[in-house]
Amino acid sequence: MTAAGRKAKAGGEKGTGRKAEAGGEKGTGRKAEAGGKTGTGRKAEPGEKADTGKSRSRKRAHRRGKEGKVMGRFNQARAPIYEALEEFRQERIVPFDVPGHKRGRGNPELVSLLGQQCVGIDVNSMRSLDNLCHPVSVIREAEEMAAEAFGSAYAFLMVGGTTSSVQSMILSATKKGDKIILPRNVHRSVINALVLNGAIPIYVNPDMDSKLGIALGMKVSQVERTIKEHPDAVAVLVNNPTYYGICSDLKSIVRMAHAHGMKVLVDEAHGTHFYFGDKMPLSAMEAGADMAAVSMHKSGGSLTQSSFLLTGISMNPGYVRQIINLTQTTSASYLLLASLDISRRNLALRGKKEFAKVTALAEYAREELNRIGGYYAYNSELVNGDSIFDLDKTKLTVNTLGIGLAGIEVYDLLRDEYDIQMELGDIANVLAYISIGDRERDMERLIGAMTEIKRKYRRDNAGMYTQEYIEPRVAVSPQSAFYAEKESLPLMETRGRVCSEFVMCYPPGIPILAPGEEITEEILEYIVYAKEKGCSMTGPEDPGIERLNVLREQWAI
Amino acid sequence: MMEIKKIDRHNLSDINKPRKFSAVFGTGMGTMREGHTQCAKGTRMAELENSKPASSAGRIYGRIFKRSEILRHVWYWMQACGTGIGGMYMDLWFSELHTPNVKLSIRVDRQLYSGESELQRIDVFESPEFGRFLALDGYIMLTEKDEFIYHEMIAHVPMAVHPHVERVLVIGAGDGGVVRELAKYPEIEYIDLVEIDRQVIQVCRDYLPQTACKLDDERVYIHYEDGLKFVRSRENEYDLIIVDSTDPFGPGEGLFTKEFYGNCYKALREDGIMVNQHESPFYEADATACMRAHKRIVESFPISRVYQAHIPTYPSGHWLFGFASKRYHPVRDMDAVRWMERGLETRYYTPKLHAGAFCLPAYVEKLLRKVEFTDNK
Repeated sequence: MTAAGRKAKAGGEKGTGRKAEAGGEKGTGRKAEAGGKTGTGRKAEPGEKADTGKSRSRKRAHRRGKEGKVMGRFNQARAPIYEALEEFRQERIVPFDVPGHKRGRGNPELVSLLGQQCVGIDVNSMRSLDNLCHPVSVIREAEEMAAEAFGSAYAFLMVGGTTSSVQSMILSATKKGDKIILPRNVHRSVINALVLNGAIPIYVNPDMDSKLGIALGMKVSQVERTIKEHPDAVAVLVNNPTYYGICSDLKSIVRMAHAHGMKVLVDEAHGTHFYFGDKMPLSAMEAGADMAAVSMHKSGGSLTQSSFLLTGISMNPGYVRQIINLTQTTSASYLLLASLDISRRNLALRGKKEFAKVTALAEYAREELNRIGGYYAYNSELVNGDSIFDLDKTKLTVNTLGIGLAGIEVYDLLRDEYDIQMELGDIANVLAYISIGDRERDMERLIGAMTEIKRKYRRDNAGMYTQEYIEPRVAVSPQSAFYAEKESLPLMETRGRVCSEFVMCYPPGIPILAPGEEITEEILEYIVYAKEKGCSMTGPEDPGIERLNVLREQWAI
Repeated sequence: MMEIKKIDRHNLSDINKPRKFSAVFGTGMGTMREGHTQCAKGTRMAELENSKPASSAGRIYGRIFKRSEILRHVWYWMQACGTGIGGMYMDLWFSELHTPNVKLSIRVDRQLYSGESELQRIDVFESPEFGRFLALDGYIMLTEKDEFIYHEMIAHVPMAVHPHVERVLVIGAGDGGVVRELAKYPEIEYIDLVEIDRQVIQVCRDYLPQTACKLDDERVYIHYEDGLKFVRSRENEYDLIIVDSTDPFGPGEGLFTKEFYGNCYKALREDGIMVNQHESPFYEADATACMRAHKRIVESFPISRVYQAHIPTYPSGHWLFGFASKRYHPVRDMDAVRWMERGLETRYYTPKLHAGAFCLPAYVEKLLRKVEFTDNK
């Protein structure tokens, strides 16, 4: 914040983590990099209050390590990519490389939209800035620092959304014909990966809470049974947590899967804060999982589309990198990379305090909403030690059926009448994503608006659906269904046929139908009801979802 | 907020440079360099600005002395130079940008208070023309010279309409001006004053006794709370709600929302009235805020009218108030005789002006009509 703070910092911090980290590093090229750069980038670091005392922040990083994490090799107050960009900016290099807007000069409208600061660092990979496809200097350093912060063996910076992290995870662990055990309420990116590589999904049907209308976690007993039935499966995928904040007993699942030689992959799109907050559910890396896809841009505060892929000691980072490079851009955005770097630093230094604040805001809102009557903002009373092993308390999910409105209807009212945008509305719930950017006064607006919605719009709640879990019948693998000969039929004539595309409400983006699944009466009813209530449905070729693509007769079973 | 701090640290520090001010006094008033105390935020951004860029020496001074200390320092220094207050003022100006291209400047004699609460920056200045004035985040909230217009118009208009006001809720208004006017009515049983910022009330008590004088009236109950939060738990309780908010950017934002007006409706008795600060129709940004507020009130109350007053220190000087009511019409149900019989002394409000205030310029009527009839469900 102040020049003074900055100076003190640059002076006192000389070479902390640097040397140690160069020593522990196996890569070459890095050492030269580290040596040549000492001190410079550091100066550019904004000395924020919390990190002026560098020794203190290092100590804190040490203390932060939960069970067995070795912390403190790096000074988490640093942000190597960000520092390199600052240095680069000062060098005033003449660009005869891409991108063609050349620091914005060729596109003034873009500059007026984003600002010079932003377009000035929208640059291509170059020696001083490293290359995401084959990182050897600042990006490598940033990845190792992230790995330390998250307590993983390695961490990959990802620029294709958490979708790319999830897909890299699956493509690393399975190949054509391999079986992978997963809950049905997975994100579409998971099944997309199966379309890509031809692995076979073995679904564990999650329990449903029929009152709340949400799918719960996987029961350990169900996973165990599935493993016994499919001992040849190579991996188990777990949501930690689900969109609604529900966690399975990850530790037991990991133990069981590992005992059967299966890898454990964890979709932690909604669990970044588990690594930094206090009293949070267990994170994948703490539970000993092999890989985790962590959506830094959701609760971690980085730019949309930036993400982390974490790997445990059992994975070969070189192979994972090759897999990532199969589909990853070769022109990674430095805006995204720098945002990951800075956000990691922020959470490593201040995450504990920030997430305590987030939890407190969510708890406050829950209490107040439950006091209104009619709404049910659920909390840890749901925890049952199995299908709801733990609950993420930063998620504010409110069941609205008590006032006779579908969640999606409340979602629409909040948006249209009260200028409040919720994260999702489904048949029975609305979900507010509470994060490090929320303020008390905004919570008051939400609570005030919900009070008003009840006063003005409440209805008798007879005839309200809750979402039911519809057990899918997998007829063919997602890949064969996706590439098979197909035909387009009016929605209501598809009963009994095998679907070749996705149908889902977005958000949450959990498929109602996935390629290769049989279309049943129940599913059709559900689709019609969800459309009627105004859920935003996505997936099929026909955007209006009047028609669905199904496999030609001879393919159906 | 951060921005404000940063800017003024850089710039104000310059004021502290003796060299500059010796030049100022050497050359006399006419040729003085501009040494501004200028404020604004968002469209009117707050900054304490000096026309010269800050030197590094200035920046160091800025760090050593706090804002208020700097001004005091300058002040002592001036006196040491033998410059009394009597004959001459410093060329020190407070400016508020009313739009990015228009500003109002008031010569400042001295700064009485400057502080930062959790929510906003609070300043009190002494000026030769307007007396003391209070600024929040760089916006002028009130001046001693013209506050009577605002406070009389926001309080007496509903009081002259509603036949029996017993319970009143006042939201915002930490300066106490509204309460001072309401305290003139003996039939009021209690006044709940809800101000989110404790520090505003304290500063007003300390520096603005002219408006804060009735805050200790035994009928006044002060709640330090978010207005929206307070009102949402009240039902069928008040005869009158007065919303004396800041502008709809910043801490006052929640008081311009549909959920707020709806909750006010719920908190009012069956013949209750809500009066609110309604922004100005003149400059574009203010007019937009004004229309948004009006639209939301129209959606929440069966009767919703707007009236005007002239307030010299507010942007454009033309200010509006909203009158929203469950039963009473603001003009037809006004009882002039009854109000006159009270013998209250006012400087701006009269029953005659009351009726006139609801006659709006054509362009304002047009502006309001636009939101009254479009997307009304």
